[in-house]
Amino acid sequence: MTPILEVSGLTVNYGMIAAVRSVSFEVRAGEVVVLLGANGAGKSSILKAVSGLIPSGGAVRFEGEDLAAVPAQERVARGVAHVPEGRRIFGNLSVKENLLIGGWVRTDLKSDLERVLTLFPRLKERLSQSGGTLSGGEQQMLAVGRALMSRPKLLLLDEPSMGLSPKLVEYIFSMLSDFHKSGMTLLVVEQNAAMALTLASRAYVLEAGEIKLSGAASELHDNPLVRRAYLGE
Amino acid sequence: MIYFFQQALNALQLGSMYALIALGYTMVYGVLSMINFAHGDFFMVGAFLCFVGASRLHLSFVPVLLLSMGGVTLLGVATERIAYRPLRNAPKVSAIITALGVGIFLENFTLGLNPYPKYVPPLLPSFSFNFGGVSVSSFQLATIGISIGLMLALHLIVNKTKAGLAMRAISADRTIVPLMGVPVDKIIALTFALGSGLGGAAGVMYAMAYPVIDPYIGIIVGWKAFISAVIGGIGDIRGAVLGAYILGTVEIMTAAFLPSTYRDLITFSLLLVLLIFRPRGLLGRAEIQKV
Ligand SMILES: Nc1ncnc2c1ncn2[C@@H]1O[C@H](COP(=O)(O)OP(=O)(O)OP(=O)(O)O)[C@@H](O)[C@H]1O
Ligand SMILES: [Mg+2]
Repeated sequence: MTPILEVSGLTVNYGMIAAVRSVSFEVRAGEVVVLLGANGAGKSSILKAVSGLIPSGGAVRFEGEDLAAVPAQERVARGVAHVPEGRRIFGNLSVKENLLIGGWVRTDLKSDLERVLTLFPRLKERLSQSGGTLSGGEQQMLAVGRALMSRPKLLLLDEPSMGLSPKLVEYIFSMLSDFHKSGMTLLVVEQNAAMALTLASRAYVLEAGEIKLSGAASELHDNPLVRRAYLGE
Repeated sequence: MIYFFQQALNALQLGSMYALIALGYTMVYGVLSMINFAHGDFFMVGAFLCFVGASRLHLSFVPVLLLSMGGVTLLGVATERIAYRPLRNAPKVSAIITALGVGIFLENFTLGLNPYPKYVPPLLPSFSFNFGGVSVSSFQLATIGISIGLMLALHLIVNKTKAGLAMRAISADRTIVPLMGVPVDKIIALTFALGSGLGGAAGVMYAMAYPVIDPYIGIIVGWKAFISAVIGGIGDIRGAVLGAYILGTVEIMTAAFLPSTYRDLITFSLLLVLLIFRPRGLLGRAEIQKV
């Protein structure tokens, strides 16, 4: 079976800075894969290259098709949604409008909206509140809900636990686990390695733009290198 | 008192014209964070298209209005596509210099076609109504009525349509809008189309109020409209309209009650004083941001 996402020889350069150097990995349908790495390792750059937000070298294939000539907005229509680092809610739009714009590529917005609001009842109570006035946790729910509006097959999440209280982190991860159970494929970038490795089936460890380690999440969880660097031992 | 109301009416007329132009500045700034300094010249082209329609093609008012709005819409979309889009990720100065260049090009192109000032014949039968001593001319009525109509239409587009939602999202955070599946280039082109079309309509209103036009009318009127947008808070649509009516009122009332040479002095002083106390304009707000 071909993987749903196949990244080979991916490079991202910012001027003279080589942020990602020939990275190859894959995500199979229904899997949860996590990318670990220190600050500046190139994790966000990889997600942006996959969603098409920044130009990149090498190849990104989604469901077997090369995305090189497919601009970001059309990748959404194909089933790739990206929850960006730092949530990036449209602060001047209401919660409802933030969700609606997430569903730009959909035609039956009403049922999509209902589905997302059932997942996040907290958002339902705040539909007309402006996005910028939500609490950090609510903003993260909105960012995830907004991405779900496009009914993605592959959901990219960039540090979904950033800046959240432990309780909220648990809540968000339990949601992700539910998405996974419902058949969605997830590619997650996380600093919270413990949580991420529990959720994931496989993981890649990135260092200075290159993949240093990869394997089953359970293996990496016990790997002394990972334990020292990412699990605080 | 009647004199005051008469002047208030004039202020409404002038403010309406400024508002239509100011909207173009503020909308483009909203989506691109760029000031389209050629916009005043778009307005001038609108006035010349009005001249062509009225005096050469002998069209009546509505077709002339559509010609000016349509022509300037195309001009705006073409300028964005050819001159601005390639510079979208370039330093801001490059875009500003390009905009100034486009403006100078339009002025000189128009000058090349028409070396002399042009007289625009009246587009509407000239008559006036009398409301308790205040007389309202057909031109004023058309200007104010159509401007308000266009502004309401814009309000609906921006706040009630999908494309309008995308415009507002782009003005909040352009870089991530493609992640929503929104074709950003198309929405920006649409924004230019709307803003330019309103500028074209303002050209017709100017030609009705001041029927002798030359290729440089866009400079000072453009500046005044730009100031209106800044007073209201550039990037904010309601702010542009508010600023335009404030500026129109200040200009008319200064000219009505003080020596008219004070007019521009007072206008620009108002701007400077306002910017000291409200650097973001009346309705401009600091971005709400959460980490
Ligand atoms: N727009 C940019 N211009 C220049 N350099 C950039 C840009 N974006 C990222 N970089 C650089 O590329 C490298 C990788 O950045 P990236 O954001 O992908 O890292 P990251 O692994 O997501 O880090 P973090 O955990 O801090 O989010 C860093 O050295 C960063 O400074
Ligand atoms: Mg990052």
